[in-house]
Amino acid sequence: MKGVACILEEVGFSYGARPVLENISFTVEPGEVVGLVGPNGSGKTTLIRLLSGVRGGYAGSILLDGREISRIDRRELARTVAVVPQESEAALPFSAREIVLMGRHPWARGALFESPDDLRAVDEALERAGAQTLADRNIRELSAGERQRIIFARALAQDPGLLLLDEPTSFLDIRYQTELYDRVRDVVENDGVSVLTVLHDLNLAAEYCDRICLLSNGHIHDSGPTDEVLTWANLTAVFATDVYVDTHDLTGKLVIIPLSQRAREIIGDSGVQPTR
Amino acid sequence: MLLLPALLLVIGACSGREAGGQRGGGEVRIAALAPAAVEIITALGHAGRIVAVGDYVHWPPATDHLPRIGSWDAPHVERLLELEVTLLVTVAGRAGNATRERLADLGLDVLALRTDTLEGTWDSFLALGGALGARERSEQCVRFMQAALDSVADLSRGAEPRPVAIVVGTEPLYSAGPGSHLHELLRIAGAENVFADLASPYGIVSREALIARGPAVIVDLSDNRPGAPRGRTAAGWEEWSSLPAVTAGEVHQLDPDRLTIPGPRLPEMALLLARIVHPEIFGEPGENDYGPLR
Amino acid sequence: MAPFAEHPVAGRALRAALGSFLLLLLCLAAASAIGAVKIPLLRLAGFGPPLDPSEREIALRILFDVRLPRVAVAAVLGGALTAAGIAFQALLRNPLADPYVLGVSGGASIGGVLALVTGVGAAGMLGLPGVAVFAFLGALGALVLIERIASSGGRFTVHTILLTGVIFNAFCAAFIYFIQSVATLEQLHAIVFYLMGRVPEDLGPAAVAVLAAATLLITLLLLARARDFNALTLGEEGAVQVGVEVEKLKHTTFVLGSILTGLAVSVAGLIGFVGLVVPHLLRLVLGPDHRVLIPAGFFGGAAFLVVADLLARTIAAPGEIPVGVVTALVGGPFFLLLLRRRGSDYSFGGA
Repeated sequence: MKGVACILEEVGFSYGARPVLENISFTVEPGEVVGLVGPNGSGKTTLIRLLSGVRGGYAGSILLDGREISRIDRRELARTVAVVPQESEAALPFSAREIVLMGRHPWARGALFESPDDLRAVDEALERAGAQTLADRNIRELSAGERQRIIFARALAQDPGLLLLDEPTSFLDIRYQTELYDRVRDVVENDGVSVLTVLHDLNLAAEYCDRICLLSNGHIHDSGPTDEVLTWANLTAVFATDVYVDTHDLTGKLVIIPLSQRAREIIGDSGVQPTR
Repeated sequence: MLLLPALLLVIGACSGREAGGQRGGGEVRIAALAPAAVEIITALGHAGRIVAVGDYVHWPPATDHLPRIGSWDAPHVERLLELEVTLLVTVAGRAGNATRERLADLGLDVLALRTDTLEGTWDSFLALGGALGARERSEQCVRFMQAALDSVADLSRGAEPRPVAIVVGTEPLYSAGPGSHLHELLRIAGAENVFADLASPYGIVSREALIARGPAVIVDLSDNRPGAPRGRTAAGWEEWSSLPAVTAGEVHQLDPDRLTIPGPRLPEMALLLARIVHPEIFGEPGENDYGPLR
Repeated sequence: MAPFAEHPVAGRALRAALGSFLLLLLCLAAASAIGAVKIPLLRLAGFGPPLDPSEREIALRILFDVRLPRVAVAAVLGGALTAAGIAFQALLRNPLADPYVLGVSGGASIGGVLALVTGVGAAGMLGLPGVAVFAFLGALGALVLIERIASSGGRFTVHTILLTGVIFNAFCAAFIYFIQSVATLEQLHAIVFYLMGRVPEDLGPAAVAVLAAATLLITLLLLARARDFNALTLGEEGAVQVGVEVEKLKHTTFVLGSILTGLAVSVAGLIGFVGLVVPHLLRLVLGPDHRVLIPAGFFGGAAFLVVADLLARTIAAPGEIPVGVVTALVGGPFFLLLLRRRGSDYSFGGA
């Protein structure tokens, strides 16, 4: 696996007459995790769809390793880009291993059955996702956390250069959240894969992302290193709500707390200003 | 063949001849939905009372000018009222109960005849005789017909029964079994129905059963289109060259009306079948016996 | 064979295909021997006491002129309908899908019924019964029309295909009811029996061979896409993300499945249940992988219909029951039984 640089330049997209993304420009470099953050409806999932080739017809340019995405055929694209969605369908009762095997689909050369290399790749992927014990279980019987691990393994089995994560931990508990992202960082650091992840949880973003791209209403509000983007000013502006931002003493990472009405009253009363 | 003139006389004794029943004068005005009903009423001499017929009636010619008012179980009620029909005659099972009740409410009588067997045909004669005030005549007709059938049966009894298949439909192959008048007529004519073990009066039979049972004679009543082959011909049966009936030229194709409408012509039907099956006793069927009734 | 040994599915696929093929051979043998007339296959072949000439003559006649052609057609029809059922169930991701739901059968029915009523092609065309030829033309017409309509919105969605097919079928049914209301008795009789579904006996050996070849070819084309069908379990978007050309797959599957259905309906009318129940039966027993299902389905479905036809022509001998009645009466309860036993394991989309 080698990371693939992804460059977006003035990308725009509309659903019919309704513009959803405008003038989006940023990059994802190999060996880094970029977080895509923003309020609901700011266009994050649409961007993921454009990058994975599910949707076409965008304005501007999206380059993968120097090649325009719209000109890469579906199968080749799937060898470069893999997606871990928020939740996934599993209509039929395949085993977990068989689901992960489907990740080898883009590498098939017209054969009806996967090759021994494919089987090896699957074993490796399962291990890296920490899902070996789940391999022979029925996918429909797994818990949400277990299923996401399998989907992650499937994405790894695709041997991608760019990994797209679309709020993969929304339905997971805190243990699975950190576990998944730990493994993602592991893959990034060992193989130099590029990762773009959509996140709602700002603390997770702060902890795991090297850079942040902050979207608002289809535009980029700010983008750059995490500490520079996740500021009180940016967040209150984009999310239209009050937050408390600080740096954690022990971990050195940002801590972002959305303020409830009660909290705002307390802070307001005591006169303490939020630091960042 | 001394008995033949006797037979013909008997047959003639019960064919349709007008015997009163003025149009418009009598109280009974009939709508006859089934072809069999029309023939029986005509035989009883009351054809004049028929003011409307069913869609599928086309015999006797006297009915050609009459209005058509629907099929067996769905007569046009408005037309019935318009024509001041007092009696609806149809075949049993076809007239739904709902229709019967509705018509009764409107002052119409419904007579449902069972003509699928010989027994049923006799009963139908008597029932109609009663309804038309021609009881005695109907009993007379029945006696004559029974006597005629007995004569044919007597004559054919001496000969060895021949295996015969009656085909009433193709695609799928349809034949007649016990419970149909055709089955009974075959017995009278000195024939053995190869499908005597069929589970219903009419039913689908398999090709291989027909081949395995190798009838000596095939009576084909399946085609009622105007230009269909008629007579003693194997036209259309070329695929069945393995059947003895086909190779021996014993496939007889008739207009279905000749044999499928049980009524006053039952003795003629028996005689026709007897001629087909035992020409050595009854003589060959005439050329005109195969085509449409006219 | 080494790769097969390790692959979790390959071994199972091979065993299922072989097993179902052997089952088919067995059923073919049984169906050839049993019928309104018992044909002593072994004695004909020379094992056991020989038959006397007339017996032998009749037995051979029945075997080659009637029995074998019919049994062969039943096998081909069963295979075609099952393969089409599997394809449509994969395409629509809906367990209620059968080969007729997408409307092609409506077109075929109209073509066949019109041919029956107008008497066109009664003498046969190209060695095939005229009705079958016109029915197939009707099926092709329906195929093109439905594809156009369903694609007209721009996206060939599962929802649109299904809706278009159902409405088209309803329209065809209404049209056929109209024809029935104005038909003569004989035409009505012919129409009813055509639509009821029967294994035809009047196809020449050439026609049967062509039918078999076409069915086999299309099934192989479907098998080539088996991995793609598997991937559809991830949802359409998920399948795209692993590199499946989903739009193209949908179009191709619709066309292939419809041709199979069109061929079957043209020749045999609407034999129900085979394309719905056999795929489910096999899925219950063999699992959801289409590399296993498609070959096993083709042979298994063939065996199923051969047996159903056997029952249809023997239960009421010398009479015959329409084979669609047998498939429903036999297939239904058997499937329910199996569902109750394995119900907890069986899932197909949804809950």
